[in-house]
Amino acid sequence: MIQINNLTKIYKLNKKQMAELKSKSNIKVAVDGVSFEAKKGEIFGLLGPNGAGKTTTLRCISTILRPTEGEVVVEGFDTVKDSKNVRGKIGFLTNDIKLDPQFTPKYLFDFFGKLHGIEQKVIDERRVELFEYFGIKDFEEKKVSELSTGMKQKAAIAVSLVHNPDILIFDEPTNGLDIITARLVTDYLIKMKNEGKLVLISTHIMSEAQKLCDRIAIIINGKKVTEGTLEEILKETNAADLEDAFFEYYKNNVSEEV
Amino acid sequence: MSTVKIICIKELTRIFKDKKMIFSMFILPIIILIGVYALMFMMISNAEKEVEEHQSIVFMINAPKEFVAITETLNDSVTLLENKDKLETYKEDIKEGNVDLIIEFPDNFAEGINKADGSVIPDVYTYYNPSEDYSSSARAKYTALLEQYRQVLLTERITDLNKITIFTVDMKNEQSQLYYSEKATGKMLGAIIPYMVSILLFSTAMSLGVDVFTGEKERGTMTALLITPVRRVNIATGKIVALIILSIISAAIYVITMVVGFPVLVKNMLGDGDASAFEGLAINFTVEQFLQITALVIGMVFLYVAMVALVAVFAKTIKEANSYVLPLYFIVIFGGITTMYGSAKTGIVQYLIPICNGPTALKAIFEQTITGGQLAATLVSIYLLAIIITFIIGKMFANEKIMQNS
Repeated sequence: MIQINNLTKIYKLNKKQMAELKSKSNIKVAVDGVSFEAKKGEIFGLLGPNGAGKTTTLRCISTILRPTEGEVVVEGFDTVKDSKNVRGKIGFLTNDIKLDPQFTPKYLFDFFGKLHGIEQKVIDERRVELFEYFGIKDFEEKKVSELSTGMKQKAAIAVSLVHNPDILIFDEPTNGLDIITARLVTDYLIKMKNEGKLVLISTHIMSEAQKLCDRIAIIINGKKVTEGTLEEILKETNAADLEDAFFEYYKNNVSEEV
Repeated sequence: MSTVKIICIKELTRIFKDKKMIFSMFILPIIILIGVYALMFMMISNAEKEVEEHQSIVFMINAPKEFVAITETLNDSVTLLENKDKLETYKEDIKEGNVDLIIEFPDNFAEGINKADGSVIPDVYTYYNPSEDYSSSARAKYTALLEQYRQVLLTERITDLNKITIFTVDMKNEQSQLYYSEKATGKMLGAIIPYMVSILLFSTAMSLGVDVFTGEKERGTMTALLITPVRRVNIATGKIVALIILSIISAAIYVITMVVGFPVLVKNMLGDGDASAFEGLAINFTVEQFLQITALVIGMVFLYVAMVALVAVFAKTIKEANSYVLPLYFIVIFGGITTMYGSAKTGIVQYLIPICNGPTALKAIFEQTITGGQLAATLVSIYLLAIIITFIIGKMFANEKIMQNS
């Protein structure tokens, strides 16, 4: 289970960053008091436009960033005080994390497996299973630098799952993938959910969230504006689909801030 | 397997599985080192040969027949002049490099050599250009001939030269030079090797360390390591150990090439006579010396790698890291240079200053003058500083501002 209580992440900006963001303030509130709970056996989606704070939230959960305020608890472990234990429980995938281009998917899979303390026999079994599922077998001995974007993404997904984590945190999981591979990934996430794992994804693709997520939290400008099942959100906004519902929230919250 | 070992093996694999990397790190330096020395000796050798083969252009004024006869044994262009009317013009020619040597015998030369009472001592003038190799060589050659001529004249005057010889020095003594060959070798190695080892260790740490730390950050592959359940300090240590191993291998290759290859090269290029400086050198370390060198070199490389890692972790881009590392490199060069001149330091304070103390202690070990206290002071200060830096790096790994570029 992931419990987030009043998560706030504030960055201090330097002059260059202030100019880039056209901001007069030297403070950027990336996540502003976000709270939610995601449970095992569900796919929980963070939905929002680019720059809303989705990735920052996921990075705080995966211990890469420290919350400025609030707390994040993963399987009972605090992400600041017990970060090592948290990292052992999660499989985290984001576009910013790259595989070392000088190594092969097979080498990297084994390498990260060993870092997670898994026995070689188990690593071999996991590799056969995941490489088979994602179709990596054909290029498992090729250097990552020689792979196409899609191949790299598949390899990165497999590597992030080497330790069979209880919690999968995928940032924009189908971003940059062709339609076939994207389907392969979403099917796998559903499979994981059915196996009782917690899947937390971030996306700005409404159709993906609508199809995949059991519960959704919409984040706009760092704030959570709603949380619930698809039905609950549609009912609350009186919208026909998630896209319409999202724009309803977006209109209300952005205009409120203006 | 410990996580430190896993990360270390990965970093070593990165180098040893890459043929280009092996070539550029371990083979190319040897080729360049041997190539540069070979070229250097070839050029020196050619220059000396050219000077030797050069036909000297010599003008002699009032030269006695006996001396002219001696000079005829040489295949030089000798012009005999009966007066010094054009001496000033010829002097200009010397400055221009057109003439190599002028020898001016005084007008009273014949009178002087015939007067045995010493009332007239003729002074022979020579004019040459010390900035011209041909001229300097001609001067040396003809000075030797003049000495030969003087000996002939002396023999004529005194008959038995032994009568005016009071004593000689080391004429028959074949054991004038007494030394232990190990110490002589140590003295010679101590002059250059500590400096070279220090710089080579740092340069390898520098070239690889920036990529291992900043490169990983820049490529986005570091975060993949940071989300594994591995202690940050273990990630840093694994990378540092790999760099230590690579730096030692690289420096060992350089030093072996220099110590073994250099004398062989000199002998081949310059001939046995000129290479006599290397005769009697015995590269023969005692077990104690070997252990001291091993402990010291590992400490030095540990410190250098930690220093490079510290700035490389802090830097956001490889370009930025290189600009931070360069001043450190200059400090290491300076620390090494201080050992090149003078004898090993005798105090203990010099052995407590990290960076400078490494090469200083290495020199003292070669020369077999290091004391237990000096060695202990060196090792403690180096290892302690390196360990402190490693822990700081471990802390830096946990700092999101440093580790996250975006």
